[in-house]
Amino acid sequence: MWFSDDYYYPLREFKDLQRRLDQLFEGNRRGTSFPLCNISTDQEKIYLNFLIPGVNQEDINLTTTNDSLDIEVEKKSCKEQQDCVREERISGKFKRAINLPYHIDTDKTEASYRNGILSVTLIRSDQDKPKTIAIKS
Amino acid sequence: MEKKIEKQNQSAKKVYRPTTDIYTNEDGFILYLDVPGCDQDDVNINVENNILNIKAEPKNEAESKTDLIYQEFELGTYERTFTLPRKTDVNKIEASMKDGTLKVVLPFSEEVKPKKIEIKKS
Repeated sequence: MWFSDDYYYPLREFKDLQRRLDQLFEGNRRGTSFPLCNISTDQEKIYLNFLIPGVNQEDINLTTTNDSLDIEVEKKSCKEQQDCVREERISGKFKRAINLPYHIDTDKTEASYRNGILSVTLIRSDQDKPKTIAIKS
Repeated sequence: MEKKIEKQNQSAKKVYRPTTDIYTNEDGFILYLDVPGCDQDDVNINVENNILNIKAEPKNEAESKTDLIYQEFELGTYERTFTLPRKTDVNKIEASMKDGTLKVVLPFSEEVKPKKIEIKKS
């Protein structure tokens, strides 16, 4: 799911190349998973950004365990009410599970949905933080 | 460092074609465009010579403080042009934004709308 930035991972280069080629040929389809996700971290937190345009806030469900996050989205189509000439936007029910790079404190999760982007902030649990070990002489 | 700057410049130039749904009814056409990350103020809609141009540029929010460890999408400029049917009433085009989706209503002009003709009693 994700690759740690700490060490060189040759497959990442290929994944990146593949992604770029996909973008070149598929234009705006940009891969097949939905919703698309970006993950960034710092010492204390994990930030997840999901690209979910045109969904009601009530139709997004988030659940977390201490090392994974599940997202369920229902994107509705207006096809039933009107005649459709062209349909490019995907619709339906989608589910995705993300493995998190750190263990998290599940009580302190925050999420906000704005302009079609869902931002989730997860706090790294205290037990999982790196500890400095003093060397005795 | 140089590579990083180069990469940033590249992503700044990227232009995406927003995915679009088009619906129709007797009053006109309705377009739905997915432009995630864009605010109402970020969208520019222009009509010139029966060509509708939609351009949206999301504001770059500072993500640089954190380490990006996994990436599936990048935000860039969205741009798409549509040729309008001649019967569109250009002055009555309306647009609205909700949850990163832009809705554009293109009404037909009154002259082409179907009219009911009443039959007079003789």
